[in-house]
Amino acid sequence: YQRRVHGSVFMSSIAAGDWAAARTVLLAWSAAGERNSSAVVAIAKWLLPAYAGSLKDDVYAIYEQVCVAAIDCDETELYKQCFGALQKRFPKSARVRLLEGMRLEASKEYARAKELYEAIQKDDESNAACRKRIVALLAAQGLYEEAIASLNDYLQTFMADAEAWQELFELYLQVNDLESAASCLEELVLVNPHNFWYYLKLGEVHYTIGRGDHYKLARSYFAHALTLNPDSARAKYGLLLASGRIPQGKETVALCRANLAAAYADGQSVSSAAARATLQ
Amino acid sequence: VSTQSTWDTRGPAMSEVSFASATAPGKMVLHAAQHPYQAVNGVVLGRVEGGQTVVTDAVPCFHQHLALTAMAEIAFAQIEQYCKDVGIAIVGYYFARERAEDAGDELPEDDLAKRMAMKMKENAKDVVILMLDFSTAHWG
Repeated sequence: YQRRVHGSVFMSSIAAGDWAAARTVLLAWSAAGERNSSAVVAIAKWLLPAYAGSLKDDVYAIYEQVCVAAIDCDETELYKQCFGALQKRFPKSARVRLLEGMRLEASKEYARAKELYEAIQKDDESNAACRKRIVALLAAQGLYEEAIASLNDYLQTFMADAEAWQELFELYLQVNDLESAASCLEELVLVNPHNFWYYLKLGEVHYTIGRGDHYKLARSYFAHALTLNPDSARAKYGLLLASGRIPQGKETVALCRANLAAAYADGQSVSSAAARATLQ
Repeated sequence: VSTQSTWDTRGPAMSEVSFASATAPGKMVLHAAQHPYQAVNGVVLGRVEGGQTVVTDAVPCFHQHLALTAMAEIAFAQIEQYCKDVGIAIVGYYFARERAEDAGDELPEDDLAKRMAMKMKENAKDVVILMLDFSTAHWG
């Protein structure tokens, strides 16, 4: 099982006992937002019993990460050990209590999880992580409309929270409310105007809505995504599609075709043959 | 095969679908397993013989933003070209829901799977919808 981390460290190259490499990998995954739960559990099983002391203060972040991974992989014993260690070190921490809430969610004990989150919220109204767990709890039960309402409420207060706007975008897609999904992306653009991915998705959302002005908008968004990331095949394809839907787009379509055909010119793989063919 | 039966994911329609080997089901299940927190979808390939749909292969497509159509159009066009090269056809659409317990017996009217299948029917003779059901799956 191999995982590439920042281009340099492969999971399989970590020998059991190489606690420094294990720490690097775990913290890198955590920073990149990659869950990799089975791999985290596999590492934790040899790392924590023998090398917890060597990890110094990093061990607590790793305990938290392993808790989540253990919940994912149904590793009750491992979870108890890590959670116990965290509880001992941080007895009053809301952040630690949230982990217990996640465990309850995973066991589908939704009512108890809700009670726990509401208790945490009562202790500290400003705890953003707790309010986000409440949204996650609703979504986990398939209560998408309620989750949307709760998340909108949260965003009234925490309006620069990009992660939350992105989650709201995903929830609106779930309920097929494309216009609202687009408005979430627009908020994300306000938070970070240089992220080409937001423009790419805006293009895709407007293309999906379809009809005259939306195809024009989609075309603009895909074009902007391309100025930010000139190598993006998705943006090129998007520009090709959106331009093909409006009368004045013929020149752009030809430009995109030529550019994409050149990008696929290596002719190596089946997929590039098929891709070239579709560009005829 | 009537148009109505292609929308059924249980019952009589299932007897009209067969798998030539473990390749297609294997790929579909692995695709879903690779993305345990997300819904996935893709296309199944094969041939239609008489009233039977024989599925020989599957092409995993997406694991996020399944409702967005732009990249799906590109994917379907590329898969169609691949089918022409190899001599098979797109015969259906497969998907797995985000929540395992949502794998019900009925597809709602405006379900994404139905919209996708309608899109595919523009170019394919007959289209089946396969829903992966992990609601009774367990580990260990």
